[in-house]
Amino acid sequence: MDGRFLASNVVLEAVNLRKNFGGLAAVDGVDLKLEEGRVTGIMGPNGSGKTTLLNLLAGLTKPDTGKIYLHGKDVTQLGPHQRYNLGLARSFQQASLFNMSVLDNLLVADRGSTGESLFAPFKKWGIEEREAALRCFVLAEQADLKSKLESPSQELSGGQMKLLETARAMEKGSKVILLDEPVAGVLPELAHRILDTFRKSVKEQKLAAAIVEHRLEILFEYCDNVCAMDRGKIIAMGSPAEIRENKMVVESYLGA
Amino acid sequence: MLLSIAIGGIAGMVASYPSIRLYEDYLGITLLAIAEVIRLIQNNFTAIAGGTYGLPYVPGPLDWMRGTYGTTAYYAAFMSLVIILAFLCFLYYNKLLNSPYGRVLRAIRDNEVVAKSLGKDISRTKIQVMVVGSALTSMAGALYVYFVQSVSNDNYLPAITFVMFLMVLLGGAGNFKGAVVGAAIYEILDVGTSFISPALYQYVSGSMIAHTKFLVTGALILLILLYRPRGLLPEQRIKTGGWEILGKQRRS
Repeated sequence: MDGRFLASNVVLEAVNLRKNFGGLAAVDGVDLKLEEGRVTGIMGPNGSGKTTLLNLLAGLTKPDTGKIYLHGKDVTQLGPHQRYNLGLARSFQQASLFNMSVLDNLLVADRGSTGESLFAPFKKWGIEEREAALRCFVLAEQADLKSKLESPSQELSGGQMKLLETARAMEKGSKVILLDEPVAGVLPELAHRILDTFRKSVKEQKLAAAIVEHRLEILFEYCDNVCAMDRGKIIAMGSPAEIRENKMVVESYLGA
Repeated sequence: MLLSIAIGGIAGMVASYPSIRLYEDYLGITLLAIAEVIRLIQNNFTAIAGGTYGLPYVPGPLDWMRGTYGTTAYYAAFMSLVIILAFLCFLYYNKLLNSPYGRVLRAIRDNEVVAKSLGKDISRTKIQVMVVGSALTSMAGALYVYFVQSVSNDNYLPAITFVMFLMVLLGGAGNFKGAVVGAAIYEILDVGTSFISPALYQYVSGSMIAHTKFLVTGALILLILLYRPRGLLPEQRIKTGGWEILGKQRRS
């Protein structure tokens, strides 16, 4: 062991991640640590590598170089489903729900369900399923979707879809939560309420969270620290106040 | 028959390995190709079911009934056996699709990338589905051979795949009750219209009539896809315990 998992409260650590698409360095030597109980904001102009970084962390894309540690364990070679079952959950920029009811969209994210087996007809999974459903009701309530549980997911508005996706990432067992623009298209008041609840859950359940977001006022209000990306590199990292004053960030954002 | 289920299952597993990396249409084409390869190998290799000569006589498990109880009783018993086995398959599939596993299958169908990110092992699930599907289809194949009591490889042309495709589409893909309904309708039409062909012999040649069936099958597939892509029965929602609980909460 390299003793990484002894190091304080870092849950997810990325070391020198690099990913090229053709000749383009989408992510170019990124180091990132997500600590428990903290929300990290990831900001940057379009094409700066935020979503690629999330894909690398979640395992959908394999890095060219670099390592990813989850709870101190090297997960670089593990597939996305294995990382999910180890507690890493993510949401997508484009709302990506299944063609089923809202409740089933939440239930499908349940970890380690006995009924997810070819032998399900011969197994007892009813009680487990009911407990999972009760947990989903709570998640739906937090996302203001309780009245929509039975509706097909396609009947939701764009904002509601994003909310459902965030709720799904909060499923029991999630330790690290990566959200890709969680409140895009959500009404401002609701967005604030959702992020408030999210932040509270992160603090109470000691989760580690990262939010990719464009709107600075949201980042600065809900994040404990912010990392700014540009052209695949992290150009600044620090508290919201520090980032607000950072000259490089202001330049890359305003193009001055 | 048990042997054929096992062999079918293994064949499904082997066939799934080159296929799990492929998506949708490509997967379908690959599997069709694998089926053709197997058929052509069989055709030229007498050790497997007599090659191109086929097997003239295959003993069935219920043959003794013919002698003891007469032909009618034999057919009745055979039909009961088939119905019982079909019903058991139906029960199994029904319970499976209404379990969390069925939910995972739908999730993978809708979006593999998201299903992967939610902890579902896509490759493993695909292999499992291929194995179960192939094994149970092999059972149907074994029953068919017991029924016609001979093997002739002309019976297994790729056209049969499309007939089954039509049955599924007719009933409604994504709803396996639809597949049962579709199969029933197809067979009723197929057998029910067979009296027409002798009447047509005076006008057209026999081979032309035989080919009409393929024409009609193809035309029906196109028509359904164009006008009723969901089939006769729509996809149903999954019935797991979650719904009952929701109902109870609503009532109280």
